[in-house]
Amino acid sequence: MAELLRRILWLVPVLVIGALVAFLTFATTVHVKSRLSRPLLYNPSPQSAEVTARAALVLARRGDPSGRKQLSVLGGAALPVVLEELPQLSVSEQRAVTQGLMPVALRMQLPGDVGFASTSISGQSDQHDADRALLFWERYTDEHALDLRPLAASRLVKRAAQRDGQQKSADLLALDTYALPSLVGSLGRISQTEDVTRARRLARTISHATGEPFLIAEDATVEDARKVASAIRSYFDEHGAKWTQLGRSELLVARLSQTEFASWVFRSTRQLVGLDHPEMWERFSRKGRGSASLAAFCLLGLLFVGPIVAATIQVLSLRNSRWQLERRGIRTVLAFCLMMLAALLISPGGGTQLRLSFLGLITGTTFSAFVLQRELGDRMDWRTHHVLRGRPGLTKVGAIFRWLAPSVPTFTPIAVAEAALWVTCLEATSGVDGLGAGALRAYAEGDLDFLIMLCLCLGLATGLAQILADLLLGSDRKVHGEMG
Amino acid sequence: MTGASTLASCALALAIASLFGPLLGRLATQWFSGRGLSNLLTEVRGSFLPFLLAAILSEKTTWNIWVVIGMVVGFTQAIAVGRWIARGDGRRSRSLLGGIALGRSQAALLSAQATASGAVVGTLALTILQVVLVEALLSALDVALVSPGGSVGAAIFAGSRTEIVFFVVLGASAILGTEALTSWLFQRRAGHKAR
Repeated sequence: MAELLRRILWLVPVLVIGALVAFLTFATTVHVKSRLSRPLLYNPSPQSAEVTARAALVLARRGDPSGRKQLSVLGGAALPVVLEELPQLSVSEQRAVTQGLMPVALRMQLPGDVGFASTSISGQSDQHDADRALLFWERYTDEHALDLRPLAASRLVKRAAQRDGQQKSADLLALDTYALPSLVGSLGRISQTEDVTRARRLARTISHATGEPFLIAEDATVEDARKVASAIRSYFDEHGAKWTQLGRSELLVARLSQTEFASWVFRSTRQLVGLDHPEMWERFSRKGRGSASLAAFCLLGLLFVGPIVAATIQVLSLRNSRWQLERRGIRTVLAFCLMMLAALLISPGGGTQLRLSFLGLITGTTFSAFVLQRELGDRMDWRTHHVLRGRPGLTKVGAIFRWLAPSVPTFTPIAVAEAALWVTCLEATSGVDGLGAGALRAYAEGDLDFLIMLCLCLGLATGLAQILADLLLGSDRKVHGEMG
Repeated sequence: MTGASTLASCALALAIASLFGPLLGRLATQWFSGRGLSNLLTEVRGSFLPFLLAAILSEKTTWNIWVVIGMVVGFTQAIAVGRWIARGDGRRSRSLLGGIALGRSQAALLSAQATASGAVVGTLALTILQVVLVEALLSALDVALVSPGGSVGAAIFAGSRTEIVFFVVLGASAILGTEALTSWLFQRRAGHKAR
């Protein structure tokens, strides 16, 4: 029992390291790489609202349009830096910077103040408008400087999440993207209708700040709301760093957390604990249902029917004196059968699930019978053959099964990998939409999540098969009093 | 169609598996106690589908596709052979007891005995089957370098019916030939002459 527990517990670190290895293996392929935008494991220059805002400010004060655009995207998250630096800039630089902030002012929807912004954006701005913009941001600093603090923002978000209110919404809009991390964090778990209402309120503000269509309809179900919340979190995983205020120690952590691997870990963990809609697991289990029966038939052939066939051949061969000739004949027949089955496995053509399952069963049986018959054949040299020939039938059967007993558990984890390969072949040639066909498609499309999930599931299946097999091997040794 | 690429892959895979399989088995039984290495390698073998590894390797290197397939299948088979050797069933034969009396460790004798087992020979004999399946799946993945011209698996996957007979005869002959070869390699010692 202790050994069983030890082996099962060892599977956890093995799977964690396996996930890392699988990630590194697949993330560097052409198809996956084209979909990734951040460093894989270590980010030497992590983003934060302050870092990004300072970079944008440098460009914007020179009048660079890209700097202005960056400022407008950064929005409220850039304000703690920008509003602090603004008084120290020359008047022309101030005008250039406030021009970049005009779309932000519009987004904030502050009453009576945004007239200058709309004219400026439409390209009809003049010096008078620029001065009005400067005045606007001065007033904004006076009124909202205290709101631009993490604690104040999170309190505001908490209140807004609890109930609708025009004032609360207006206050949140005035913070713009500054409140985004708190807004996304407050989405929380969505499991009942109250959660849907809360998520709807928050999603509306998030959608407004980011310009992305994250809206939850009035008649949305819990599942619909969860999907939208998952989409928001995924979006924030990818783009949220530039809106997040990070301290020095947090920036150090961000060197690891703002990577593709960390992003995969966060995404998968959220799905695993039920925070996000388990899209990957649903897709995986849907495809898994198609493959499960095929894999089960392959394994049935490999681990049950094959050994029985091998043992039967061996028992029958004991009745024949020309045992060596017969053994070679049997191997030749099995080899030809295997190659014919392999041809069927990889020849394109449709087929019913029944036909494919039967093909998997026969292939597994023949493969297993070939290997195990070869193993049994070795045990039976001419001496044992001579001795057993004279014994009663049951003794023969007992002897054969005793020799076969340790081979089947040894073969089990190897058989899992073989079955996975055959199932993939069957699905690739017949058009069945299972895990094998999914793996082929995932590789071609660079679907990293699916590939890692497949690797981990196969690794887990092999690991568990191995533990079970080793337990059986151990008990077999105890029964026969042999040394391991 | 010549099948040259398939045969070359098969030969390379066999060479790698024959070389590394017994080595992995001995590493697991004699040098790393508890068979942890064999367990880990078997889990790795099960985790990664060989055609995906072959596709990645062919993308990352400039090696010929037959080399890539040969290497991937070779190491896959080597791990399987390693497991068979590491899990020798511990029979107490006369040669084992004699060997212990002469001072050889039980682990060394068991692994030597397991290396000569029929399962190892049987596993190695089926190398061509793995090669052909990986070739077929690589052509399903549209890995450009797998050509139906040299690769039997790719040709059959592409729908060529006429070559199936050739494939079956070639494959069965390869299985039997490989079996004879590996049997000669691993089972030459006294007591195995009957095979």
